Amino acid sequence: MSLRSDMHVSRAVFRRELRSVVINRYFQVFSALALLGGVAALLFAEDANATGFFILQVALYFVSLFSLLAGVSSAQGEREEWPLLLSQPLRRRTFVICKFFALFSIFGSVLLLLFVPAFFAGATLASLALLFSQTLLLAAAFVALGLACGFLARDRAQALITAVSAWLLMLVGIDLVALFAARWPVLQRVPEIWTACLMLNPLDAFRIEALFALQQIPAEAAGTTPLAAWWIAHAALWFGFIALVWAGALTHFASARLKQWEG
Amino acid sequence: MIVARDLRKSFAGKEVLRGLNLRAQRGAITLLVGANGAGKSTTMKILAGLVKADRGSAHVNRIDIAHDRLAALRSLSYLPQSPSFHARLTGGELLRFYGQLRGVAPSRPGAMLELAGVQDVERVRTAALSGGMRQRLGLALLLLPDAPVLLLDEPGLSLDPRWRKRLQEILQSEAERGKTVLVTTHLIAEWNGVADHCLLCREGRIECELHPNDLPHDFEELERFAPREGDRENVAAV
Repeated sequence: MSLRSDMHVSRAVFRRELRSVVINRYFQVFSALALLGGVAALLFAEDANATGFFILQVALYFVSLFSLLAGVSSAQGEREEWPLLLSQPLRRRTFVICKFFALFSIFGSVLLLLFVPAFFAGATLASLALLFSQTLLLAAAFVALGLACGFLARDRAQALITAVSAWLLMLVGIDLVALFAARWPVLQRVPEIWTACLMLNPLDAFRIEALFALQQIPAEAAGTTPLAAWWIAHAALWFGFIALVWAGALTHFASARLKQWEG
Repeated sequence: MIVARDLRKSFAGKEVLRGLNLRAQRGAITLLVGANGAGKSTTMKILAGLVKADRGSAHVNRIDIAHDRLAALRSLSYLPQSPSFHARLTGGELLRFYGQLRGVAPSRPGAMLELAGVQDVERVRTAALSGGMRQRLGLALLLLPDAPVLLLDEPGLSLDPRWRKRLQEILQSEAERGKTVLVTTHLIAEWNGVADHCLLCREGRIECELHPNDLPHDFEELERFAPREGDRENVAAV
């Protein structure tokens, strides 16, 4: 397929996805929440640091959840149209990648509703820009997870259950398992296992990175093991890396699933 | 032109196509008829690039769909059995999307809506459309890219008799323009004298070619139809 043909296919899919996302209810609710969060940060946060914490909580819970739901909805929303859609001269991988970038772009725009009011609450531009870019990366990882769950499942209900279960596992499940397993003496001798589990989970990587950055805790304070010390010293870099790996791997998985679809 | 040779396909161990051979000529309407499970829809899906054959080959406009799927798909347009669309998009948005995807002129989507008599759905969300209107929107989408090969899987099931007749007229005019039209249908009698060829599909094979001007009156008659030895030889030659 020529580059020109690829471009107009990508443009068409991208535009369609933008239109679908704008009229998607999850996205509309998220936009309202982002605006409310931004205004609340402006009105109620006592200082710039508190604004950062407030945004961190919104990002951790709402951005991850709604980007996940938007991904699921995007994958499942037109499932019945696949026989028509996939009989078009369109690479299935291009279709999934365009979906991902459209969702990512629109989430990036809506996040401004959350971050711009915070700027007027006194937070510094540098700290907000860092938090914004990290929140964007978090959204990218969860949009990709939503797409993967959406293309993996047979129907919308199964996709939602899978996606929300994955989100809960990443939000609290891994931490709880680590907490209980840490009582086992054999595992206490290898704390790197727990550190690695937390490092590989984008929600934990985001949480740790943002908290250490906001609290301005020196890296040495948490450096009980060499791995933990390295992680905290490179928390921002590591989070960027792990979020991109998750986003890339899950988008690849989603397109592989769609390629297998026959019907 | 469409040529399928020795197509075989199984789903969950059940053989649906058992060496199906088929040829649909340019400038003609070819019907593919048969009972449920005979393999008609699977054949259409293989030709439309939605299902991969386990064995055999399928060529659309001389392009092997297994080797160059995108090139083959560029030369065909497919209307599935019950076309479904993104529920929240309007008819106009949908047509414009497919138009951009196929690189057609911006004026063509409007013209196709008019041809299918669904210009009123331009601003209506597809979820609000009746089965018949959806079929007509599907017809507009089928004709949108002006592809040389048209595949229609059970078209007209939700259409009223007037629009079923109109569909046939449109397909006849497309065939006269040199297109290859392949249609699967259960409404056999309605195609009497309309189609140029009619292939009877049974148990995953093309069993024989029926005379297009003397098609069975109903489905029971088709089920009872027993091909003569000569008919089978013709199919073997295909």
